[in-house]
Amino acid sequence: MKKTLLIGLTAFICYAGSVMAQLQPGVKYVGATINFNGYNQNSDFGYNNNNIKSNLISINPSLQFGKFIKENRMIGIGLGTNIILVNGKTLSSNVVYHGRTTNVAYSLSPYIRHYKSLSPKWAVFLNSSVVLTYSHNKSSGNQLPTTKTDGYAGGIQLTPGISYWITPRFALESDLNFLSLAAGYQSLWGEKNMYFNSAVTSDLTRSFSVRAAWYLQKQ
Amino acid sequence: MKNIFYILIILVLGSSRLAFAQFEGQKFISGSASVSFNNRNPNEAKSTNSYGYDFDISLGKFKTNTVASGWRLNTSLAGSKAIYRTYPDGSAIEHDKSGIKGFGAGIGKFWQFYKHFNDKIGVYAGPNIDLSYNNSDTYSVSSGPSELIKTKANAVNLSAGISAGFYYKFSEKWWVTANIAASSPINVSYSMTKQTSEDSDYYVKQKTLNYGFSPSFTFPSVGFGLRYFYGR
Repeated sequence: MKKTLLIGLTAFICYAGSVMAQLQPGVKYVGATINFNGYNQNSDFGYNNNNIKSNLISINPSLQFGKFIKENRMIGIGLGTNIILVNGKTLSSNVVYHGRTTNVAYSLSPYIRHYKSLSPKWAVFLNSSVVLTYSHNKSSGNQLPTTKTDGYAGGIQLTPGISYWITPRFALESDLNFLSLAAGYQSLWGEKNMYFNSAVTSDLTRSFSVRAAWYLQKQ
Repeated sequence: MKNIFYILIILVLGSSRLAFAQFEGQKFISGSASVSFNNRNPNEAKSTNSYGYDFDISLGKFKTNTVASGWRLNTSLAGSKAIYRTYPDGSAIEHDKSGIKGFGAGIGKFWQFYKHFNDKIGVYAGPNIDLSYNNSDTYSVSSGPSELIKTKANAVNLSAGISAGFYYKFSEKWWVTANIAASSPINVSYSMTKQTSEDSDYYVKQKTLNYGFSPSFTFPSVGFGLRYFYGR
């Protein structure tokens, strides 16, 4: 076991030191991340005997597929979903009010990514993508008419990021928000918006989301 | 066994061929402790005071040369004496509130994996799990109908995360440590809050369960710490 570990480690160091094999043409890429959060709340109002129960859940999975077309350059497509479900129930003067809101957004983002390797384990990249989003919102309740709203948005986005290879095939990546550039068009809630946002910051105290990434090479 | 780790470290570092101290079996303690008491005695009014303590102690042990694990214990308490004035029907009512206003206790387990660059400097990273309980009583005077509102909160919080830092070894017994990055992807908390009025039958009871999963990290505002090695 110890011997295997030693040989493995030595082999790995030699291997990693030679060439950045993950960034060669033909290598396929899969990236995935998810985050979710939510709450359940029950409130009793003692002075008028009202009761409010509410819950919210928000789920954000995303997937990326890509392929290296030449050294350090990858093209690919990203798929993302953002689902927010809100339920509410109010009991007031013996009348029950139900309410439910569903908000779903789908995004499709073809991208080109340029890598620059810093060391055998670290690389930085710049991701240029076109982001197309379709969102659907539905609100209903027993005392309210059902409303539905659809919207769409399209834009371009430029984000830098960093990769760290734990094994030659598996890496953790984070999009860094030091620099971001986005421009696009949005139509939602009966409103049409044009936007252009750019931001540069040196603030390190914000949080950076982490993505799992696989670099799949032909053996 | 020690030999293997020695060889491994040299292999990992490649260039550096310094001799390292053996950490295996060493125990360390770090943390903070504070106690406070304040008294205010104005000429024209009753005296008020506040007091409290906060202890946060980590005890760890190097299982091998590069792996340490340990426990984090913390407890805090806050109390005060304060006077609130309300005017529920035009005339002033004085509420004299003294006693314990907050208590917290927590326990956590941590694991740290080290990479010693040389015999002075190294980095470490590892997971931690923390469970804590906090309660508090806060008083506020509402606007509109002037009433004294008491908010009583109880909360239990469970979190799991990863943190990383580096150390500098001053001497055999003393290290200074600094945080590099932290992440707490898993968080669950349950809280019960009750607001009552001292002047009417108003009350609001609220129970909330919060949960979240978010694989992300933050660079914290740099927190330096001292670590003392005891025993041996």
